[in-house]
Amino acid sequence: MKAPAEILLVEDDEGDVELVRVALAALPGTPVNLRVAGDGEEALALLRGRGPGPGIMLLDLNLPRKSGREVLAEVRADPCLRLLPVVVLTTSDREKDIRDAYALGANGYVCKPFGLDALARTMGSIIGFWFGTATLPPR
Amino acid sequence: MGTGILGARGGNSLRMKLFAFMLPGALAAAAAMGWASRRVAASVLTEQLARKARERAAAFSELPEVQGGLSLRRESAILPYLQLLIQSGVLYAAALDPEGRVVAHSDILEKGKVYAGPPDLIRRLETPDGPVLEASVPVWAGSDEGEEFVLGAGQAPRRRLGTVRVGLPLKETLETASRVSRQVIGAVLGVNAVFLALLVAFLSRTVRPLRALAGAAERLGAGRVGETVPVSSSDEIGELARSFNRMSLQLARITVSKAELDAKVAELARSNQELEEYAFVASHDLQEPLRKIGGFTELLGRRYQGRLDADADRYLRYITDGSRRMQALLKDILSLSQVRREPLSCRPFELDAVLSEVLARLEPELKEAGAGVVRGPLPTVAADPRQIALLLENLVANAVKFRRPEPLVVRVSARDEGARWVVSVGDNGIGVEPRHLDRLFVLFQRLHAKDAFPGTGVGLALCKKIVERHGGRIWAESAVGVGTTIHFTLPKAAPPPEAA
Repeated sequence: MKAPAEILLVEDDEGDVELVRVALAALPGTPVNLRVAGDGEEALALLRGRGPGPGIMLLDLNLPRKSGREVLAEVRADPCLRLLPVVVLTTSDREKDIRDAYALGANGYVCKPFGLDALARTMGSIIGFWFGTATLPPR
Repeated sequence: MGTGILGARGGNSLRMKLFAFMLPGALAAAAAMGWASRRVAASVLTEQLARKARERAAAFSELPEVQGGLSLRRESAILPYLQLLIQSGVLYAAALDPEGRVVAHSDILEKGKVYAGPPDLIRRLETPDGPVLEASVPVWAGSDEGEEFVLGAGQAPRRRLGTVRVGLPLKETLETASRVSRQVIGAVLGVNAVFLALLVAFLSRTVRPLRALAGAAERLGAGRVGETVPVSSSDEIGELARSFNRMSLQLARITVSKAELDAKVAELARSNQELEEYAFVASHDLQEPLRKIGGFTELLGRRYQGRLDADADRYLRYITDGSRRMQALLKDILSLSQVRREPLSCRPFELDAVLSEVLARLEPELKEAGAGVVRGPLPTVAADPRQIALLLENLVANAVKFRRPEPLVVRVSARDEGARWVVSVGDNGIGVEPRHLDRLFVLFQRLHAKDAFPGTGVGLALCKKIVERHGGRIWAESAVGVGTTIHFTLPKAAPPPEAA
């Protein structure tokens, strides 16, 4: 049995979290271990805490207190966390947001699609790439 | 406003004109009067003098010594009387014989000279002593009644003894005449001066309200509408003032100052901007909760499909459809809002390339419709490539959407119209009824039931906005059951700068 894909989802909206869980559950193949952080602080604490870190981080931009941008910047500034693949998963499709995310070092930018099937497809392709096609950076 | 002696600023005032007009006339009048008066005075005075001369001469000719005969022999008898004449202001006196020979003369040198000419004569001479009036009077033989002699039948003609000639100085006369003339000139000038002064005063009084009017008119021109001038008379100037006041008040009623307009325009622009922001933010932020609604409704539907009753299934389906529709609508509104807000970044690009991209994006739909695309050569245009891509995508998507059962053919072509390109996207779809053609580009106008054909009614409005932002025009040709062609123009020059 394949090792589960470790994913950290940084998302404050419960509903969105639930939708992602449902979408992931529908995916065949690789099991996914989804950890959730409700805000930037929690995410960073989790990342810096004990135990193995996630394979990738799915980061929403609209977070309370610390914005997704700030989290991304901090992660990239931290030598221990610098290499972590971060995929921005958010609702905004504004050019400025996309540009800023990549400028700050995001590995990818995904607009949350509408509809369960589309979301499942999206999640499938993200996991398929990062835990299938690509090789993750060494811990 | 400078008001020197000459009046208005430019110097070209009425007062100056008055002076320029009246002064030469006044001077000419004075000169004419002076000249005329001198002549008259001279004439009258000379006349007087002449009479005096004649009297003297006549008195002389009555003298018995003179009656005794005028000849050189009698010189010594006559001369003393001639001398007497000199003392009474006469300049010179002479007695001549009938032939004109000077018999006796106060000036001894003249004796013996002969002067021809009529014996009865008044004439003016210039002598070394100045101008002189010379009177020659014939000396008749006979008594002093001879003056009344009338030549009639039975009277013997009188015998002329000779001529008495008397010369009187004219200098004083002429000087008197000159003095008279000068006085007349002075009087005329004085009268004219008074007259002119009165005119100037009248003018000032008349001009004052005119100046007030000029000032008010200038201020009116500068934007101070509603200002009135006092109406101080009931003459033409008063009428002018009244008319001006009416005009000013009327303007005040109907004028909106430029400042007000500018303020209103700025306010409208701001309001517009706010509305755009609002539309953008609303359509953007509404997507988020909508996704949730749609997502969980779908989840509910899947998880509980068949486990609730048929009504519930149906309701869930309605909700899901509703939220999907709303999502599509919001997406389109957002698109439209973005097209409106975004600054155009125009550059020249190949329309062909953009069309290819668009066709690639729509490939699944085109394939499903079995569509064939016929492309004419497309030019290089200067425009915002993203927006043009969106435009073409909408048009082609429409062609796909509103197709007939027959295989779809989409035709894209362009033609050169000098200052602009006309691009046409045509299909062989269901077409549009002529009476609906003008509603085609109106926002949210849909010509079909939402179940028959999908669509939010935003697509063509979006196309229109994009075309208009580029300074072009968009219109449609269609025949029901045959197909529709949408034409739009793109100016070759860069689009004009837009107001915000």
